[in-house]
Amino acid sequence: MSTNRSDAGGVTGQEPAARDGLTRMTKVEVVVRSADTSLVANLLRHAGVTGYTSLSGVSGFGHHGYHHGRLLFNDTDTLSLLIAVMPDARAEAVLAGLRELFEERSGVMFVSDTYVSRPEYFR
Amino acid sequence: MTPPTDAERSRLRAQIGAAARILHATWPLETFVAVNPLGDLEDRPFEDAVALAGPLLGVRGRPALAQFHGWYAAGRITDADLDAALRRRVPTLAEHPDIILGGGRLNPVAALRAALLHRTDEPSPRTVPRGAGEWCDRLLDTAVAPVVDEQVAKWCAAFCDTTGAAVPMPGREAGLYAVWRALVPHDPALRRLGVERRRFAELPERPEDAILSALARLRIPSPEQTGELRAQLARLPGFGSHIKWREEHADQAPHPADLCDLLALRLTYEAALVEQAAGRRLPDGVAALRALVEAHAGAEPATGEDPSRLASGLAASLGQADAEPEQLAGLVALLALLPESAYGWVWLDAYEWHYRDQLLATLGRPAPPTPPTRPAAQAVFCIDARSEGLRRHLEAQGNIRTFGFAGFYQLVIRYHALHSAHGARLCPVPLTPTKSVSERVSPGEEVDAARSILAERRAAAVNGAFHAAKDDLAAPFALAEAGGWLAGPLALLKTVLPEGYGTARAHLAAAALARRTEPVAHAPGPVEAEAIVAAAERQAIRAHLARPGLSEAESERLRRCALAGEEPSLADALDLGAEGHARRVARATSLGYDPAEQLDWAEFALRSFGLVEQFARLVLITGHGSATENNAYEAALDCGACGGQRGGPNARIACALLNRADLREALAGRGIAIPPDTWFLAAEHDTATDRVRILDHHLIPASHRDDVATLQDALDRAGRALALERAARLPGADHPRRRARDWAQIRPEWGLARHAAFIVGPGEMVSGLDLECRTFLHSYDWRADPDGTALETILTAPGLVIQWINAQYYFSTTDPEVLGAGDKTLHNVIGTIGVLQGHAGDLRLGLPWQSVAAGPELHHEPMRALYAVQAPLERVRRLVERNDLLRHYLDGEWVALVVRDEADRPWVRRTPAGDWAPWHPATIHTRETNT
Repeated sequence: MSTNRSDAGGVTGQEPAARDGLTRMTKVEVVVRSADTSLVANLLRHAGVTGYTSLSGVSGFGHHGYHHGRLLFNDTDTLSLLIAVMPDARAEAVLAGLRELFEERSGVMFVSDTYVSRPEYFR
Repeated sequence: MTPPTDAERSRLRAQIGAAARILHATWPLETFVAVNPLGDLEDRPFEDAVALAGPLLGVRGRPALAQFHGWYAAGRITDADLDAALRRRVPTLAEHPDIILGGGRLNPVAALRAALLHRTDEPSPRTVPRGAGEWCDRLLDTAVAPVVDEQVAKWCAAFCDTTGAAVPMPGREAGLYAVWRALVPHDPALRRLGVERRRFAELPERPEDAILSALARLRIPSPEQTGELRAQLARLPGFGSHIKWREEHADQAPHPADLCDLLALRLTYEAALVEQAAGRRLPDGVAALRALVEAHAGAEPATGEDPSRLASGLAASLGQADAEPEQLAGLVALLALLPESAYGWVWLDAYEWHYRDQLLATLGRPAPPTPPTRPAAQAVFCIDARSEGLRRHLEAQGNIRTFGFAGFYQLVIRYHALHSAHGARLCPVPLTPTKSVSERVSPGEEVDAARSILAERRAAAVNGAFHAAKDDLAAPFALAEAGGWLAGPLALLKTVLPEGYGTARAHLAAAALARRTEPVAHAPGPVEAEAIVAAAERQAIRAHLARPGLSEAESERLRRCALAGEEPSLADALDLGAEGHARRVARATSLGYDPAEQLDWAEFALRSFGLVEQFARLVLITGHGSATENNAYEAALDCGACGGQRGGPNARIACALLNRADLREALAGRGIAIPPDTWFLAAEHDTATDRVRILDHHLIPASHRDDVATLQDALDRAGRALALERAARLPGADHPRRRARDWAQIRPEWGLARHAAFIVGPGEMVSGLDLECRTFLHSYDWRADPDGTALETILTAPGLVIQWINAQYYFSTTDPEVLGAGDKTLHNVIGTIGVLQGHAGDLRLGLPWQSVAAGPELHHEPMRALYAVQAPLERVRRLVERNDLLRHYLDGEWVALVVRDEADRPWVRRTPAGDWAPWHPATIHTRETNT
């Protein structure tokens, strides 16, 4: 497992720059085997996250070597990227679950601050 | 107690996800999909997966040693096979010095072989205590775990059953835990269990909280929680696997349930009963029990292996009981190279390669020359092992070339048949349909089609009444009314004359199937979409008025009146307003494949199975299904590539596209020239009877009808020959065609039993060979696949489904009590989700015993599949390296792979270490060992 946290729009360790009219939230991006997406999605849902975006067929190079993104006729054996945005208060529960999940499954997560224009969608 | 935090709940859900890897989601019977019961552990080596799940589930994961010894005695495993398997297992054996015992000298391979033969007994599959309840039972002589099983199974069966219960469980839409929590305080069983009703009346709202509360009451330490959850799931793997399917396919499940719900039920009972039992027997109750558990868990016996004892016994069995101690030490050192726990795996390897060696030697014979003349016909069949026999017999009929291709023909579709209200997914489960294709009445056939559909609906009503009768205890008294006047005579006919009944029902079905329809495979433009919708609306009017003979003109007049608001009752009943009509037209334009998609699909499909030139006048595209009676596992005999559905619609759609002139013109631009006189002909192979029915007769041009009649004759002869061949393998005297129609028949066909390999290569590779319906065959010509895309698809898509099928047959055979469905004659079907053995207990996994054995004799040979590929090794090597799926399968020995560049080149085997080694049949090794 690896966890990266970056502060969007600011220098690491400092408060991110304010954005007019936008609300700061936490963005969690998770790359997992597509077969494990339902597990992550359930975890997000039960933690009260209101929605997520899922991109299948993700390619890349990493800890386990090259990951081939495109399998024409098999949706389950590629990697998927799930992106969820949530208030900071929910993030703690989500991260606790994801850390536990990555104890025994391969995958990575990236956590960062983000800004949204319609905060009510994410609460 | 303080309520858990959200983080604790979230962590628990992740732990449940980890624990649940010992289970694989199991599809309901109605859409039977073969699965590997250990499929969620496939990223581990096969033996590791068995080592993890085996003790929890109580399975061995391979045939017993006694079974292997039986095969050895019968010659199914030879010394040469064992020697070769030992060399594969312990590659350093070649360098190991000979063993000196007494005055004799023993080759190390022969010495280890002697050890394998010496060890004949082994304990039953070990079951570790599964969870707190089972520990309580073991240490305090109670019966907690079975009672918890009984209660949980009772609630799960009531919740999951969608058709069987006369009074369905109310409130199921709220979810399993929620409805149980609402109802359980009123369950009279609580009194019998002697538990405090209050505990069940004050359960937390969230299942996570119930689990965490129970784990705390059972004093399970935090680091052991995942293990406890895993152990709890292992008690009822059938319901666990079904609920896991609901969790992963919430869009398809009628009511929500997940494993957190299941564990909340289970642990709530378990905590209450353990507290009660421990409280009565131990002064400190659960705390004292926990201390006992920890003491006993630490004292669990080790493997019990003792190479010194084994060496002494082995020396004695070789007549060298008085061997010198230093000689025995040499033997002990040798035996230490192979732990006794690995003996079974060596036997399995020997058993598998015995078959594989023979197969590869057979495939090594010089391929017959391909006739230079244009074939009379070409016929494409599903890769399904049952197609192999039909292809063989069909090629024997004359100049007919056959091909193998996944039976969904790479059409990833949802299909809407005209007579069905719901679309069916007609593609393998790993795929999500990307297209919808509908059936329509062929122009000019409207009236006949309306009559056919009405006839089919009547037949379906009768059939539906019978199914209801079997599911509902009260139904037999209502059957005559429900089924109408047809039910009585049909039931009588079915009982006294199975074949006659089959004919009668087939007659009814044929009346429906003779309807004149065609799939709309292409994407229609706006004008055509309007015409398609108008035709569908006229059909709907005929059906609604129950007047199939209504003329086109009169139907059209009524339709226009309804659309204009002049026939309000008709418009209301059929949603025939302007809005509904516009919606249908919009939907019709979204159906089917547009020209670019057609071209991509056609080129890919044809290149995949290597048919890119020398097209015959007729190219048969064949789907398959199995028509059997009164068989809960009927879908298991249908097409695995089509997700447990019949493959006829896919064949029809493929033909509808390939017969389009505009598509052929575009294909020519990509180097695939299909002659104008080639006609693609759809058909369906009934694997229970080996009859091949040609579909869409009404679309065949007059110029090809004689060719079709000739081909049908050849298919009939081939089918009869194959049915006779299969009759010899089936127990009993009944002809396969009679068995298929007999509703008391427990084994209508053998299905895929005895399958053992997946062969990927040109048709000539298998042409003329009798492979005994044991091999999946995918045609492939690497020259027609310049970038290797087709091969990658073959190995990762059909290859994946074959591994699932293979694992299901394997484990149903090695561990029928846990991973198989048991005796079919005792099955009690729970709605459409699965079967119980008897009236209660867990849902059964896998296949019935009758699918893999006849009486006590195994018919299926439990072997992991061999994939034999003819393609450039470098291409295969690169492909494997970049695919996690294939690497896991091969490195973990879930399947084996051999490759050869060309027919006259030697086979090369991929080793679990990722190397490529020359394949040598075991007999060559034998000579080396003996010299």
